[in-house]
Amino acid sequence: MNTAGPAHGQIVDAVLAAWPQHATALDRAMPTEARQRELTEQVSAAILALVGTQLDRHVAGYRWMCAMVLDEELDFRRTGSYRYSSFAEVERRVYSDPSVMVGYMDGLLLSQVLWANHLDMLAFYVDAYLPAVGSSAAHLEVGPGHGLLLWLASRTLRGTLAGWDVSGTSLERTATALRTLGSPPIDLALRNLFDPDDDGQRFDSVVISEVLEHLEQPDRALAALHRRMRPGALLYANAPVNSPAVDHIWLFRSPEEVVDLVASSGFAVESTRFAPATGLTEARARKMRFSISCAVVARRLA
Amino acid sequence: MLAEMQEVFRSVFEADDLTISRETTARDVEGWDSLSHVTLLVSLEQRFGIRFKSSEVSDLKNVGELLDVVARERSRSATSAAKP
Repeated sequence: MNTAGPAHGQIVDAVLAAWPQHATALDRAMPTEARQRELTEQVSAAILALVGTQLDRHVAGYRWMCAMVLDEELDFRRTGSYRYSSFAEVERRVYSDPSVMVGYMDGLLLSQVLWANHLDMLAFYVDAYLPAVGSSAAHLEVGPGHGLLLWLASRTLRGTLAGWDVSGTSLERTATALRTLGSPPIDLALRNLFDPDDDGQRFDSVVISEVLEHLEQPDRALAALHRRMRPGALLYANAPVNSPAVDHIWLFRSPEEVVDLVASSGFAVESTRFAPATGLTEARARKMRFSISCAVVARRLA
Repeated sequence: MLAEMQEVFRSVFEADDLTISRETTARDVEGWDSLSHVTLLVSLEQRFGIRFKSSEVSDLKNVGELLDVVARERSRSATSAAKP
């Protein structure tokens, strides 16, 4: 298999050792373009640093996550909607179960370099979004999760860096990841977007990646972010379309729904990137209502 | 049942001249990837009046194994329907 480098190869080999039937899917996701291969290898090396001696555990989590996605895809194709529509249901069935969450988070981490759409989004974030952010910008990521995007931001941005999450467990994982990767100090805080804004903090750059689809009211989230951004600040919003998962609540049915949501929240859209699931063209993904990752870069209007 | 399944395959993959056998694998059918696989499964569910468990359809080797699962589920559905 034409992996991007030794680190990427190590992750791919570990997955194939446990799950040889996954070879075709992995092969289809192999990056071919030089810059993507370079970034894939860099992120793979970071992931290996994060997993340490627990690569096999992460592989098990990845396999669990793929089985979960298949389950949810079957349900989605039968019903036309995501299984759950409220945060309370997801909290009860997913977030409050540590055994589920560990596997899920482990799987999500590996998927960043194993799924073509995730790789594409990473490349867009690094090569299109971050260069557009001023180096001294006050930068915030909402829901930093595995910490990779904050780590990537810390490599180029020299202003203040912050990460907010509603989950203390998730923030701990982010903090551990950033320490492991040698990031400069990043202000990680247990903050809910909808808390009253009483500290006057304002940001020049805000990232909300793979969060909106987990919310009952993504429009309120964008409105809350708008209030915390300076006029002219940049927003990077990444949300998937037709992408069933056990904790996805809000169904975006087309890339245009994601773009329109951002535009209607007080932002001027500057660029977009749509990445269909592994092995698909965008045209086929649209026609068959398969998953498409959608990234929107937009500027806060005054 | 293979002939009925072939009709479903032709519809899902939009290939009127597609011919399948028990030995047919995903590599033999253009466009048969993990996501079209899901569409195929749901189409088979609708055609045969069955419901798959994801665990029994995630690592199938060929059409023959899929056919066996359909036959098993169809028999299970018929047995459930026949119970008073």
